[in-house]
Amino acid sequence: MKAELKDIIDSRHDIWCVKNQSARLTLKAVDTHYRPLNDQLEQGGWPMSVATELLCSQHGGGELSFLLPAIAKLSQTEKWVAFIAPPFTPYGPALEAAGVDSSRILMIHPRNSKELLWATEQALKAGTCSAVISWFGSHDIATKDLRRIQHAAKSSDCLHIQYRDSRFAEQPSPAKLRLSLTPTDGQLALQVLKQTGTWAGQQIGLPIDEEIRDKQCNVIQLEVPKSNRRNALPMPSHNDPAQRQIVWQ
Amino acid sequence: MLWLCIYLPLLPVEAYPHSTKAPLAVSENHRIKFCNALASSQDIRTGQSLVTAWALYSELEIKDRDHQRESLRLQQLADFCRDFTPHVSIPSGDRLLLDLTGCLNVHGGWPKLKEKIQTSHLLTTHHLQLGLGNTPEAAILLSHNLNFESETVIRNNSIDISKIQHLINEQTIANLNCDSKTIQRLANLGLKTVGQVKQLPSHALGHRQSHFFMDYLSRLYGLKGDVRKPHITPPQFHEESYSLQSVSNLSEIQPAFELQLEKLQRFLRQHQQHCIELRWQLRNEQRYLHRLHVGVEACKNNVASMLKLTQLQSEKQPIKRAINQVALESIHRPLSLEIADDLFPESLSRPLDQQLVETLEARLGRDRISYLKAPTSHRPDDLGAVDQDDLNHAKRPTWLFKSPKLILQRGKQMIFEGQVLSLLQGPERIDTQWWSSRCQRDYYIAKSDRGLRYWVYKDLVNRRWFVQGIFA
Repeated sequence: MKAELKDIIDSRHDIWCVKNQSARLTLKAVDTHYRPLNDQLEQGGWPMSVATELLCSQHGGGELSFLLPAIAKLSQTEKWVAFIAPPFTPYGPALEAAGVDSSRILMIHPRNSKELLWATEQALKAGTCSAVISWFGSHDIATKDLRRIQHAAKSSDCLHIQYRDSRFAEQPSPAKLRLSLTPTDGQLALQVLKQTGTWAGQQIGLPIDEEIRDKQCNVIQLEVPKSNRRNALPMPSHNDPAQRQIVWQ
Repeated sequence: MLWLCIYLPLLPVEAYPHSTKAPLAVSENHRIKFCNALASSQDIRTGQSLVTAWALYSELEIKDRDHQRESLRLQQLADFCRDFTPHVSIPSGDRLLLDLTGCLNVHGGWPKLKEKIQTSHLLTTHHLQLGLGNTPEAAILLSHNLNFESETVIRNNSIDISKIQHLINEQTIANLNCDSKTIQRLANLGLKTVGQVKQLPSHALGHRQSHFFMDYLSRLYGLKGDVRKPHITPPQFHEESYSLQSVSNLSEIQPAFELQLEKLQRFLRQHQQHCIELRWQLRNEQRYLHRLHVGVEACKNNVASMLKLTQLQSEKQPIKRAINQVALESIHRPLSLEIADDLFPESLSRPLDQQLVETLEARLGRDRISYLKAPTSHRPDDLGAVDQDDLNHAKRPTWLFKSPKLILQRGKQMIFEGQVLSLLQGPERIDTQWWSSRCQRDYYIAKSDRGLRYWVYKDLVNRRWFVQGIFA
């Protein structure tokens, strides 16, 4: 390599050379709340000011729940948490239970991919969002558009997550961090597809179902007027001594 | 005290926008009453009959005097003069009175303020005579004087009262702001200047003149207070701009948007208002009308932000035909309402930025932006805030379907979207709305054979199973 070219590359902090392990990206990060995941991520958490791609094909494998601790932390700031094109309606009590301040959630419902990209870029550029979560899903977004979003994320000071369909895993992407999510039996399997500044290929299994198995659900019965009690249906039997009855008025 | 009187001797002519471009005269009782400089250069003089005027210059345009037009123009100028001082009053049909007390330092001294007034875009089209005084009446009197040099009476941004009184004394009695009979009576006494009137013993003068005149003299010399009612315009904004050519391209309409918004910003500043919504009307002569309503509450009267939102909205709702008229109405409220009355407001946290929301609404539409609603009842379907403390003990799904989806039952198997569901946890009984249509459900957490988790329930009324949400 020519000395002049080497000088240029060495002077830039955003170019990583395998030979030069000491030249690492220094980005702000937010704790993922999962130690095994933090250990595998270069920044020790979800990197801020970059685009992070999460690739998954199905809903219901815990792909949002494992992100909630980070969102909960970011929602404590006086900024929006933008949900752009969420596939379903987020359920407030679930987010509140995870510590997310639901008054910070701003939901944007674009009609098409053009509006989706525009809304994502605007949210990133506004500087008033602590997190921008975009569900690109199966929209086939051109690389130039992804690069534009990555550029907008770079100038922002927020966490930017893009949910994309798994079929785009083979396609190149300008995102600095790419993770493939696969729900397995009681776990959410994560594979690092790309991570700027270090090697990729790490595999992590996050226990998702444990929470459900550990916590027994309570049976809730509402107080009904005497006239209606005649029609009350019998409660299913429970052997769990921990269960308690809550009466609402 | 420092008062400025702006005298507009040619207001009846200058009230017509084209007065600077063509010879124009205004008539009253079939006589020329006022004429502009271009008409004067054609030997048109005040008092000439209309026939004489036309004989001298056949292309002379003569308008009947329109007092309403003059009044509207004067009010417009009074509104504009709020840029210089918050206290502007209209003492007569051709004068404005500005209370400049405490304003000179803000404008960098009298010479700079005078330059601002004379070069301002609205006043530059008018012939102005300025008069400065320590009292309103002194300023009005000195505005008659064509040779008045305002710089001579201002020293270190304060008025030289002895100099002013000297100038007042030099004025002829014809310039006094009182009726012609009073002036005639003074003239009959052989008095020529105001100073000569002032030298007369007040009791002797009081016998001969009315108490109104004595009161006027006291106010003129500052011996008596003179409170002026400020001119207040109802804060309504409606401006229109026209184009000779019809345009359909947004970039061609943008200058009209900018022009209107700049006028609006000045209006909002003058009236201490905060704009909430812009109501645009884009029209053409074929009665085509295109309305644009733009929410701009978060823009804080900033022209660039309001323009951006207008552009976004007009991209979303493009015009279908070429237009040549752009009208703007503003919905606004006083800025004073923005300040909380409470000494200790309930929420000390700053409100979240609304500018992003308004930008998104302008482009995508209001229906495309939503917030997380707290549930209005214990039934999960009713998204909308009850205290959720009790529910927090139970696991809740992150996604909720807009309406529950039916689960197919094949024998003992539950099938949902091609997946076989098995129950992991439950049940959790939710029994509510007994006062209307009773909702009795047993909720379970189910898992599919693909490892996905759902929130399912059995409706105890119709014994059918539904999926309500997803544990994403």
